[in-house]
Amino acid sequence: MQSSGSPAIQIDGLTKSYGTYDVLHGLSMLVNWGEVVSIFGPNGSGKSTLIKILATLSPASSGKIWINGLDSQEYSHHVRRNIGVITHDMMLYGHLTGLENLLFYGTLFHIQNVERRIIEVSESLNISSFLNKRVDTMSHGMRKRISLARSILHDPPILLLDEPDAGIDQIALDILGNLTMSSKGKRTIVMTTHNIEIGFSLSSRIAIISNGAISYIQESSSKTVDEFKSDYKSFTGVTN
Amino acid sequence: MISSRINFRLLLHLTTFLVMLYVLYLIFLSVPTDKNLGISQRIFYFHVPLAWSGFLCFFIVLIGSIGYLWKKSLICDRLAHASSEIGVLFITLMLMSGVLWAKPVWGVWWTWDPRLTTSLILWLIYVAYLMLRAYSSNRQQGAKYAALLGIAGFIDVPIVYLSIYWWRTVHPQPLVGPATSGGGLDPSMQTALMISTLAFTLVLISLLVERMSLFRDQYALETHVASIKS
Amino acid sequence: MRTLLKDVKTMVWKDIVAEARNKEMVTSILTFAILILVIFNFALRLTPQIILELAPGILWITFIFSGLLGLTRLFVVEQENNTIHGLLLSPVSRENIYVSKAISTFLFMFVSEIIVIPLFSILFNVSLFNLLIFAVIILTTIGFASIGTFFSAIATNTKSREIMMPMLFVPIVVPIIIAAVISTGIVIQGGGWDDIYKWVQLIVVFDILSVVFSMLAFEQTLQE
Repeated sequence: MQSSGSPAIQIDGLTKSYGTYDVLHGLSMLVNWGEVVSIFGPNGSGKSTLIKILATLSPASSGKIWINGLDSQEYSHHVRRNIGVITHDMMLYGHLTGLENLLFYGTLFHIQNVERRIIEVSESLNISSFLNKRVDTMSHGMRKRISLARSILHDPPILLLDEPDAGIDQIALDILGNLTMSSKGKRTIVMTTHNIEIGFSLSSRIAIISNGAISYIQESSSKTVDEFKSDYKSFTGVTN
Repeated sequence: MISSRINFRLLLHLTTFLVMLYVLYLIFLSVPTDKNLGISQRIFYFHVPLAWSGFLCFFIVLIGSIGYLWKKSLICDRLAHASSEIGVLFITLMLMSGVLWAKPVWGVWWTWDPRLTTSLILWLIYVAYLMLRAYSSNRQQGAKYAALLGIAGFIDVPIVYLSIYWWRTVHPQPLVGPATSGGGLDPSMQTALMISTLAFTLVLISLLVERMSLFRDQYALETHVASIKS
Repeated sequence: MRTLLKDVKTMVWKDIVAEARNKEMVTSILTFAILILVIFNFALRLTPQIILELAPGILWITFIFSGLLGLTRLFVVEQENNTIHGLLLSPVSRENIYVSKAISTFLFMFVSEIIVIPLFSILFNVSLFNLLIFAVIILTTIGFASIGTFFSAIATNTKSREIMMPMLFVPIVVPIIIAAVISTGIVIQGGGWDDIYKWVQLIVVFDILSVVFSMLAFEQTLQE
């Protein structure tokens, strides 16, 4: 799936304006295959907007994005096959069972042997036991795990996570951690989070958005959590 | 640059004012009173030009809407928005003058005549257009949705007219059409009608220019306030 | 073309299964329709002489207002868990999302109408069992569902869905309301295909325009 030579994600001069107000202003960034990049920033800094644009849910006002070497505006169909997206929205139909939800999305992605793939993913996320329950009767943590399964069902090489740790239980958090860890080197992950400890421990690079652009980007191995926290404070003026 | 723009606007408004003054003179002092309809026929000189310029407004909305969706041009959006407001105003006045005219001439306030009814539906569509802008969660969304309705509404109007026209042939009503149609008009009446149409078109342009510049200032101010806040 | 059919089938099937479990759409349309019929019975003194004259109007007012109730809530299902984003994140084209939603809407409206018709016939003692009337109902419902789905997507994203939906929908569908009422009336009074031909033609033209326009423009209602 990965075309040789082109990076996983390349963002060039991305601007998103609402009316005359720019949320993102000339944001550029390069993410290589196998990297896990965490993006931090205060509320309203445009983290979620960035994820939405990368996910092709929202068009950029100007600037270009290439995902797996493909222009994401022009080839949005192909781009969507390459990305899995997790936000605080579950994107699951309450009246359908977990299995039906996965079958539905799997069919829309035209996955070969959907059933086998669902069994595979269910086992790795440990959701087989409640797969036949209706989603609206599930606990929040269960839903989150089904939603995780939904996002990786089509085996995307790139994962976009928008505050995946917000409002989830410990089990789901562990699974998310496992997923990120086990994907290391295999999947490319871009995530936004408020939780500096979690983000820092999971990622290979850490970045800060302020004033609509990436103002800071470092290897996480070159810093300790506390050093990064003080960096964060000096770059954004808030302690998070 | 600024002074030439102000001069242009001043010239435009002055022209509008003078033409309108002349039209008022024609309508109330110069044109002969209609033999059959009497004094009420003079409403005609307002009613028809209002209808014409109202419909023209909605055509401008169409152009602005296409321009906005196609080129994302903010000027096109302001053009469509300003024009829709003026169009609703003109059609409102046109419907009111129609009601005033119908009572003495036809004996009823309202008749479901195809033209009148189509105008009423048109008016409803563009009231919805303005409401859509007002109820949208942000201005960009409102602009886009309004543009879609501006196009859909314009495509719909001929079908509305046709359906109402056919409907009238199924349910004929006692009084049909304007009592005097074009053929019986005195030449001076025709001239007055034409100049009045010109005058209302000028009013339309004057209002459009002012409203658009008001929108521009308003948005610039809002952006400025937003930038101070953030 | 085959993937189009497959995607649309998958999405319509999902809507049908969800509807079969919660029955929200059909029940709300149906109960509202029955309420309207009951009110008409009290509001108008429907003697056998005038019922033939008024039946088409009563029928279509019932269909329009109960249908509007369903149309207003069309995208609420997709908003609950933001599943609309789930659809948009899949490689399905936006046109297909529109087409599947419009088909589901048509099915739910049509099923409700099919149940209202015998009720109407019993309550008002007018027989509506006529193939021509069915044809008119199907074609008009296609028009309602196609443009209604489009406007519902818009109204759902505004601050007041309940106010915007009828304001957007009713003025635009005036032509097919007129055509449906008149052709239903002609058939009830004993007219045939030749008498309603031009009205049916008008409805078909409206349907085609509304489907084409909505397919082209639907993507615009979704972007943020």
